[in-house]
Amino acid sequence: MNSGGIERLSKTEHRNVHINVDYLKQPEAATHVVPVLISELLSVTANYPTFLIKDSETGEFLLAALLGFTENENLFISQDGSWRSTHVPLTIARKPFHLSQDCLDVYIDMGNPWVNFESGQRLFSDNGEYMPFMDNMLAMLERITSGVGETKSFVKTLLDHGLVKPVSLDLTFEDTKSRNLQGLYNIDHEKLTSLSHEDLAGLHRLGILEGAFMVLHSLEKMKSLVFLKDKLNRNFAEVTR
Amino acid sequence: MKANEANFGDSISSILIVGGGSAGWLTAGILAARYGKTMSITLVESPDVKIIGVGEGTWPTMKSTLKEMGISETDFFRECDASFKHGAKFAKWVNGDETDYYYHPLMLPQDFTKINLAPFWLKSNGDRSFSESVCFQEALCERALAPKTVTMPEYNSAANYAYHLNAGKFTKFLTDHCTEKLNVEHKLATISEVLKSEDGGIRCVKTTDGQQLSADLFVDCTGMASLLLGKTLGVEFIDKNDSLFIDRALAAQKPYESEEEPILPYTVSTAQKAGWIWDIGLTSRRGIGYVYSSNHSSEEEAEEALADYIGPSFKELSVKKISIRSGHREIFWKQNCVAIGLSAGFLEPLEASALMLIEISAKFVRDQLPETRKTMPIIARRFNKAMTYHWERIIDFLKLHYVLSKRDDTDFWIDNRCSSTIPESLAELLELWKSHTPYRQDFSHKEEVFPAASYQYVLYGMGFRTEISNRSVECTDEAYRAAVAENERMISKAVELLPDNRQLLQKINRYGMSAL
Repeated sequence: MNSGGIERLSKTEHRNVHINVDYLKQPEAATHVVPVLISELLSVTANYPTFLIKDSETGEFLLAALLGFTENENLFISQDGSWRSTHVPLTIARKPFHLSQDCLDVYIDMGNPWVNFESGQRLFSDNGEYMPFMDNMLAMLERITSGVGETKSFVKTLLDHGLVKPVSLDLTFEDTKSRNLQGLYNIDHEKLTSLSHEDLAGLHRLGILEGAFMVLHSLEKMKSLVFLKDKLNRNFAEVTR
Repeated sequence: MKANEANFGDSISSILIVGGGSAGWLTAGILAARYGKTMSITLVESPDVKIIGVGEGTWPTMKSTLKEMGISETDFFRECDASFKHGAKFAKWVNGDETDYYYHPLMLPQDFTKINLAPFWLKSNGDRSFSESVCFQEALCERALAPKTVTMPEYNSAANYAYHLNAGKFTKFLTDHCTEKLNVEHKLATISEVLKSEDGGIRCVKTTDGQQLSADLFVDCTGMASLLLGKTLGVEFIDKNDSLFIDRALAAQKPYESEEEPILPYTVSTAQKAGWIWDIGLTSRRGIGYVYSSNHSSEEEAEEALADYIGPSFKELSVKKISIRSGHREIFWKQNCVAIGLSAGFLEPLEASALMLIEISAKFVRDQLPETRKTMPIIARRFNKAMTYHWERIIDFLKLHYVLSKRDDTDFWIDNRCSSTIPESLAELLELWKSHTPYRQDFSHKEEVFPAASYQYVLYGMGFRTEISNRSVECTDEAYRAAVAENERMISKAVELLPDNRQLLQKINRYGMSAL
């Protein structure tokens, strides 16, 4: 659609740019696992099973939400291209924008399939002011920027306290296919609850205790994800019948 | 001091390690990881004695050694310029041609504990080498791939591995770890005198600054000087130069040509006219050296051979010259003194046995540390028996490489096959192997240093023919074909999964590896 590259956002240059949000056309949304930030943790854990995973490039631990069960399977994208839950993880929702490292400049990826000049959300009003869509986007970008460091230190603190452990999940689906999920890590509940009062108080002061329990409890959302997959399979079976 | 001598029956509660090279600090770490909180462990080293520091290849045993000391593998990689090692490549050992090479990988042949594949490989007369047919590591070496991916935890891997390391940095790294984490007391002082006790053991060591250091057990890690066991207690050195001719080393360090030059994940040993050249890749540089026999080559000739190997950059490098003496002490533990490292003996580094011998010696002391002075002679006898066995097996195994060579371009190679230079134990095995392939039953010692698989890799890598009778076939051709096919599958899987060695090492330096 657009062949342009990454450009610094300007109200003159990009006056007529529209963003057509369609998750079916967003390549980075076609994933079964998405990195999430501590600044969105409540919304994330209320919607998705959340784990720690290892970055395949660096081996470092990341906080991530599970969106599906196989490579590139995102169960939250509907057939009409909308998102099936109330919270879209920030790293996907911010498309096609990002902030410069010093947070002073906004950049737009003109090559992103959502960018066009006809349909969708406008960025600027006729007199060159940000539209509410864009105000919301800027707030999101700031949450991401401030959340990156915070998320790293959340993960590091968990690791330093030995509170991370690998989990192996055996899931059974309606079509009787069962699946074993590998490469996921969770909070070690036993270790967490056996920490000393001082350690617990310290983690609580840092706001990490609350986050750790959110991640732990999000495991319950695994049932919803299996349920969703089964439901989609059933629909698919009906359509093809 | 008197109290110590009268201590018969009393408990062993203090250890003094004399000497601070790799031997001293590895021993300190291995002992202190177990006893750091319950015993007094002191290491005294002279600030003026330089460590030899050429032992830069390890065995896979080093992984558990480091792990048991509580060392983060990431820290070790970063601070010791460490790199991965899948095994060794022997070039020009059979006939000296450019295409002459074979591998001795660290992993056992496919299904080794269930089937002995060697007889089938011999019968199949295929065009693929033994190691290539039965082990997937040769394929990884030829492509310079790492044994693991960046997401695998520390000390975990897809292929078994050992390390190449910077010995000087390793010693410093262990010093910090032992003193900061493991409660080892570190004294910097020069030994002026070692005093004997009436029972023929060590009473104490005196230092030039007037200290008298005493302990219940002394560990001699003074290197080739063998200050305690050799000089003070008079334990004889048994020279093995009649079997292993190498007595000189020229060592150099070569920088990489560029940031893209592969870091080879294996040790290369290239045979020369009077010995062989080692080539060990670290993250920071290559360590290259020529070990040769001074009876078969002058120093000038040796330097020329090393210069040929290294290329034009040789003239910018400084070359360290080392005299070595193959052999070992008659016993290694006498009274209250045990020698670990070069003080116990030296062998050419062809199979990287130096650090491994330190590890098994120190672990033996750790696991069987006498409770009292009374039981010490019993443990000492056991130790001496076990270590003598290990040294003899290593000598046999090193000599095997020379005996199997078909090179006749120099007297060095011809003399090496002279039957009077071959230990009887090895001659007997060679006779046996004419009609039997080495397998589990041949090396049945509890802690065998070289498993039968190693003998298979060297024998069949060097073209030795064992005549296989039909009677000796113990499994079906299908089982052999299934194992070879499984190895094929492992090769393609590993080649797809595993990253370039240099790339992974860069990532480890940048991001580190996770402990889980």
